[in-house]
Amino acid sequence: MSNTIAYMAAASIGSMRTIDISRFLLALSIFLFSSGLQGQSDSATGTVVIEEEGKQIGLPGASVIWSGTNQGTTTDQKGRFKLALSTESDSLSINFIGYQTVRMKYEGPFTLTLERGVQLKGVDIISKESSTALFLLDPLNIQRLDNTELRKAACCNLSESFETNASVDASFTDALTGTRQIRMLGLSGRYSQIMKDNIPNIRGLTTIYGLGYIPGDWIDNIYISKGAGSVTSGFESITGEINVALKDAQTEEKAHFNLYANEGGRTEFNTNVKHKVSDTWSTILLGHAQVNENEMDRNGDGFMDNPLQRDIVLRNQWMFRSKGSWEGQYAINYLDQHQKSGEMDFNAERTPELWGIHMDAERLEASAKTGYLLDDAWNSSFGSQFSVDRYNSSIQAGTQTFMGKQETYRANLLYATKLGCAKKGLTVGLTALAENYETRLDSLVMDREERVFGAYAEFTWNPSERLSSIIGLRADEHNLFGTMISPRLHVRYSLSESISLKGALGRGYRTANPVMDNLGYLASNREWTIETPLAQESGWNTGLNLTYKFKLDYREASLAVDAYRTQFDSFSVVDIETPGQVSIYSLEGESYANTAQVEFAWEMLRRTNVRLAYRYTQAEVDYRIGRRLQPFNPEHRAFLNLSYETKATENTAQWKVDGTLQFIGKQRIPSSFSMSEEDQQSNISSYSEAFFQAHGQVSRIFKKGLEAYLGVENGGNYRQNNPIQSASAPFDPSFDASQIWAPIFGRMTYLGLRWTIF
Amino acid sequence: MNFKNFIKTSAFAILLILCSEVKAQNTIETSFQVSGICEMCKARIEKAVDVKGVKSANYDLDTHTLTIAYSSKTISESDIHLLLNEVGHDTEKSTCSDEQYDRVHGCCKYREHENH
Repeated sequence: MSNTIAYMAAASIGSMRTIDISRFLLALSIFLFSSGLQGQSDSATGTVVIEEEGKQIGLPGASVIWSGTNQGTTTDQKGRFKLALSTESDSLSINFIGYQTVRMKYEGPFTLTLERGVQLKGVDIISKESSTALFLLDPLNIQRLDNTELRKAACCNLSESFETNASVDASFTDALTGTRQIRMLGLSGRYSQIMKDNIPNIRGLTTIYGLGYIPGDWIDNIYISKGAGSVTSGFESITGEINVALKDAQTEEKAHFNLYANEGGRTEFNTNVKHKVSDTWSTILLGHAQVNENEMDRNGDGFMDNPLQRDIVLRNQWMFRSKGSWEGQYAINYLDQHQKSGEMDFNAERTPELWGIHMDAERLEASAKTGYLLDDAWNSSFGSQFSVDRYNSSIQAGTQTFMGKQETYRANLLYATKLGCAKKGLTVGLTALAENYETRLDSLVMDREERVFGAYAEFTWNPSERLSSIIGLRADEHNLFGTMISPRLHVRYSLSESISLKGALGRGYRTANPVMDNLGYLASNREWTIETPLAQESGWNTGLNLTYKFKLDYREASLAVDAYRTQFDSFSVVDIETPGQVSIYSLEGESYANTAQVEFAWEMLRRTNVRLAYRYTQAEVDYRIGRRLQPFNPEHRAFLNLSYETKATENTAQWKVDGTLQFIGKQRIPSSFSMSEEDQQSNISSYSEAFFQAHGQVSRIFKKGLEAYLGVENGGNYRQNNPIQSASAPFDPSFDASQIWAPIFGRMTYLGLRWTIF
Repeated sequence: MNFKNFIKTSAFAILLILCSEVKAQNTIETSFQVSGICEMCKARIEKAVDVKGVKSANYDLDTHTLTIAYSSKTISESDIHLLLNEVGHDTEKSTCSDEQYDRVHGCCKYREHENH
């Protein structure tokens, strides 16, 4: 949770009512670690004072309570208090009639001066926020999905966590492997910087599969930032940033267990257990296991609708907080995955006559983040991030074999400080990245070694309450592609207290991994043609956002309108316009994506929320045959989400109901073998039909920490007919399971149980 | 159902809700003083008035003011004061009995605080 705060603060200052640079810098200073030091003993102590004629006088009788609990005390005659540490909360709420109520994180003994009607410096006054929060004051266009929101889509990993969100959509890569890819601002998720605890993570060879490697139950918060991101996190953000904050050793959960099973035969188990080793060290162990061993073929095409799977993911994180100014987070993460899909009864060794995909993957990651607060008054701090990532995968798809190996070593050093007055701040840093890739597709060898050294500076300037900005510049020297300059600019201007206008401009770069970026086409007998070497991809992103918060029928409502354009200077075109072929080549001409989105959210009735969104996308590429819309990328999408919860009873028992209806407009389908020879020759496209998809879930909270849920995905049972072309002749060149634009499995029911010990 | 229908249906649903509210036209928004000193009090106060007829309720701890919107057809302001007394909170118009006051948690004993 603390890291969450750090990220949110580092990238933003959103949830706070007042924006000031000292706060921002404090947040930056804890960019790599967490806010707040835990108390050194078993109880929290402090003194509450008021100031009278310049003297501090102890305030007796002030109430001091762990926020959200009923554990509390009052101060004694001298204003002192002592209160046993709480396992349920780390924030204190301090109050005295006639004075400002203060809620603050307990970070060790303190003296707090209560003031009349004045906001206290460095202390948050936290108000109730919705589970999907937009921030008025943040220069970045950030949306936060918290734990509550993520629980609405109970299944199962990161790729499936965006069901109740309108900004990010997930679609299947093919009809066999059940793999999902995400899209943001009308472009594939590979153009977003996806981070795990602020370290770039889902990239390189894991750009698609990596989403499935983060169990949903481990996630604490997801931050979605549309438009060019911050330079501190790297050069790879073109359309935006997604940071996934996992539960850490400071989580309030002592132990947590989750069981999940669905109609498709998938069973999952998730758990996390924390342990406080000493006053300074604490640790958390997270586990995930997933099994699916039921072959199912509901549409009768002879192919399994869902893959058979065996996954194990383990993570151990350690957090260190010294009595001084050091903080650290150290984690190790291991994944082992085996997946099989294709014709019923397929077995890679025993059934050469059957078409199937067999995949094995193994990943080992380690990261170390350390931070040191140099100077309190200047909020200056130093931080370091080191990470190692080794990934190994092998895929046997029909008669094709793919082998991919990635080794990544990364170092990031960062220094943040306040400049002169409180209105300005500066962060500077250095990064080094060394990567070795070995990939083979049959006899095609694509190996490369990347060495990238970079430096960046980010200047924060808030000249007035109304205006704030983040100006960033980074330069990286790449051993293969030369110098890369990534400027980033974010500006927020408040038209009024409730309306803010934000603008973003920035550039990003990435290296394409032609096979792994497009692995859905392995589920076909398409012939791969890959241009080597491919130019490095780069693009500019510009966007405008308007957020308006208001009251409608006495209840909170918000309206967010945004428009973004991504224009590529250099792009790897994935051309599937010719049946039986997939060609990947460097762009000659233009490639761009324009999106416009309107999202309305409103507390319609008490405890009843509605969200309505519409998005227009126009993503076009100059293929060799001419300019076309990107295939399988709908121009129109709409979204309706309704949620309701009953009033919690005394022992917090409660019902929660959530429903989502998605409209997915028609999508362009490139020409295929099923068309006439003539149409194939002239690359005629067809269009899918528009459809609706409904998801719903009911949760029952029995008491604090114990909850059960029952849900349905694709409740309208909409399915793509014949998702696999030439399913009856899988070794024919026309066999293709990658032309997928709708669900395959139809309605799917799931249920699960969550048990948390606080 | 096509896209136009989707838009129509959603717009209709929302309009319907809005209209029914507008038709009622009896919504009164008011604010008054309620004794309370902490986050716990705030939660208790807001929950106490989470009843039929109350559209929104927001308690401001700094000013001890409850801002409340309710339908005068369904509930009266005096009912709201009584609801608050019931959970142990005094309001500017009505004070709760000692028995009711005993219901608030130890650290929320606002009357004691006033004596300091």
